[in-house]
Amino acid sequence: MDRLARARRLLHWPISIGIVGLVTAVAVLIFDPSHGTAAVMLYLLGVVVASLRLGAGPSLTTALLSVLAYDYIFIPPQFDLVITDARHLVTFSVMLLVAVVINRLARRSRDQAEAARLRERRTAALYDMSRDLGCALEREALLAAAARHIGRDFEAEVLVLVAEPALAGRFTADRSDGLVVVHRTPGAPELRDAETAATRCVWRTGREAGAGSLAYPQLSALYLPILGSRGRLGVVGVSARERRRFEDEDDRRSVEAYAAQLGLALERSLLAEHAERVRVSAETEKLRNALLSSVSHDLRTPLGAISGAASTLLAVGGSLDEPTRRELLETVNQEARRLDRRVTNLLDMTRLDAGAVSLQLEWQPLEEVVGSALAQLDQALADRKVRTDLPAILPPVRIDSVLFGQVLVNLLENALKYSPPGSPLEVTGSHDGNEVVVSVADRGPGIPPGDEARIFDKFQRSAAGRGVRGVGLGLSICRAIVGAHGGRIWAENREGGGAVFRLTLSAGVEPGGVLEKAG
Amino acid sequence: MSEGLRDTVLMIEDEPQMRRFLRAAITASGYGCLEANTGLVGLNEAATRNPAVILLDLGLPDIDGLEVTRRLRTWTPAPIIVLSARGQEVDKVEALDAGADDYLTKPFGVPELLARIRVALRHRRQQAGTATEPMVTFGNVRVDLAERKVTRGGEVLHLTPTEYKLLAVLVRHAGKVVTHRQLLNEAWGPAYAAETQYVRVYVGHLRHRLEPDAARPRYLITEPGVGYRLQLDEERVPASGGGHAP
Repeated sequence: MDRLARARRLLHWPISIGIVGLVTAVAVLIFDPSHGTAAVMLYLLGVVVASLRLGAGPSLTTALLSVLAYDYIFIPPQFDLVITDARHLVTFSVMLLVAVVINRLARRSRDQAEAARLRERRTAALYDMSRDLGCALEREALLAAAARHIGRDFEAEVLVLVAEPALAGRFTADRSDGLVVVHRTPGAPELRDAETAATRCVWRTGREAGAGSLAYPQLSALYLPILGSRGRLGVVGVSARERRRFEDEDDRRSVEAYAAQLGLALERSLLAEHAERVRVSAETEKLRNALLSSVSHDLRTPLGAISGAASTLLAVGGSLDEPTRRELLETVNQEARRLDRRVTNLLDMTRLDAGAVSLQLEWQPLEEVVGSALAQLDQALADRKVRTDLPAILPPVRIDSVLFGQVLVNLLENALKYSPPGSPLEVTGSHDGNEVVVSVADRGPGIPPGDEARIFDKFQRSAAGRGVRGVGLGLSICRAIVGAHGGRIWAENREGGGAVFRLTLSAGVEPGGVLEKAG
Repeated sequence: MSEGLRDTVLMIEDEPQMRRFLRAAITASGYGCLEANTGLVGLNEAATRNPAVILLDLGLPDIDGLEVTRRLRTWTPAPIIVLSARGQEVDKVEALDAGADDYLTKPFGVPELLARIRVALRHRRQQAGTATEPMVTFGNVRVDLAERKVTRGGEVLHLTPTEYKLLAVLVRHAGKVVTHRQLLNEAWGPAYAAETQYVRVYVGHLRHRLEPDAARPRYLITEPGVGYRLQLDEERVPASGGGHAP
């Protein structure tokens, strides 16, 4: 009982005396002491008032003092405590009895009102928690909300343990399942042997253990099972700062209700996590299948051509004329190079995915790496006019020349694939703020609207190029490499037809300037 | 090549299929052919048979190709051409800096191989004989190392001292690859070994002054991840066959 209540209680005593004094004063005023037997009603009123408002002790005191005062002042012989008429004894007893009974009734009624208010508060708190849990989407937030509510409403520290299979989405309740601590409030005590045994007991039996329970009653915390709709999920431990907390029946029922709410919300969250894992695994499976079928087809096709041509030469080469023989040999050569490019693409993508690529960054003028890429595709570009526009004032960029060169080669090859033979290509560079923008443009059919982002995904080929060969990794490799350089890459359709691929790189100021060596 | 004294090419390569086609290509071109399938055997052959050119695969089973290069360089000036897979630029650069003369990336075509061998032999002959060729021509550019004069289309070009030094290095090694480190070393000095961006910028300058189209150089070629090569017209390799669509 806190100080204020205690102080109030102390006040009851002087008040109880004061009431008697007041009643006496009024009685004397109204009634003539020699005919004042009716004054007993006033005293009775005083006793009733005292019993309604004061504690047991003070109200009995009021009764007693009222009896004495009444006897003293109104009962003959006056101003004397002697009782001559035995009927007055009945009056006195009745007054005392009234005091006791009314006091008890009043107290009970007060207690019930208090209990009802408490229950109402508890229900409201429980509703609050269930609303918060309903909003919380992910497991961590959910557990934190539940722990907060339980901690606040029971003035306790909270510990939540979940069974390992439940974390993986399997709701079996095997006795041997391990329990994992998934959340604790900052002040929650460590689990020692006894507490751990209690949690295991709760898990096994599905019944409470700890303070106020049959099992492990010596512990200061109460452990309850967390139940979902499909079975047990785990155990929640509540350590109230006030030990006697869970000896109260209402408190226990209340904390059980909280645990039930927690169980439902936790189950929902675990199921959602499980569903997400399944979805991701299905996606991965899908991607892996796409890879396998794509690899199989795109590697076997050139291999088929090579072995076919070679086998023909071996079998009937002697009877073929020279140009035909030459043609077959050309096939072997070309298809071998094609196979090499495809394998390279696959390996590059795998390395990039695995993060196994370390960039060797150096400051370079763009011109060099563009020239290098164009040189690599020299023969392929033979029938095309390639316009390059790289102003001399373009700042240098910090790139890995080999990897960035690969990006340009892929973009140019892409442009070649998706534009008609003989149509022109453009490679341009521009300076925009502190970025350098490189663009590769063609005059092909362009990109189907809406596909601009999708084409950078793995194994995507634009619908506009039906029958176009290739593994479909070129653009996703570009995106990975440009991303590793801290830049962006995107595609747009051009005015006048065709597609343009743009990428950005941070522009730099070359460090230290360049030295001119004397002599 | 003089008759009776064919230049011999030693190939140190462990893959039998590679040796088969190299052997065919080399002998058909009129060179003698020596083979070794491990590094140790290769070192032995090089010591005893004195080949004119050595083809060295970097992925040997017994000794690291780099180590073989170092050991060879302790006693033979014979040109070494290293063969290596794509993506192993670091290995190639190390081998080149350790004394190898040129490189080929697998898979490579036979015309490329023969061109490299020719360049290697030319340089060897120049070294063995008189001093380096004093005058080199490419396109309409003529570089006279003796007079320190560079002309383009007959007109004298005035290059800065560093530009000239850089060009001179490439000219002295005409046809062969020169690593960034070698260029920095010879044009700037050993202290600048790591400042690759200097080389790039100056090569850019040279391209603008000497090439018909600086953005698509024909002579001052970038070897990505490795260095640069001054490509002479007579040693230009017709692009090896192969369609462009991947």
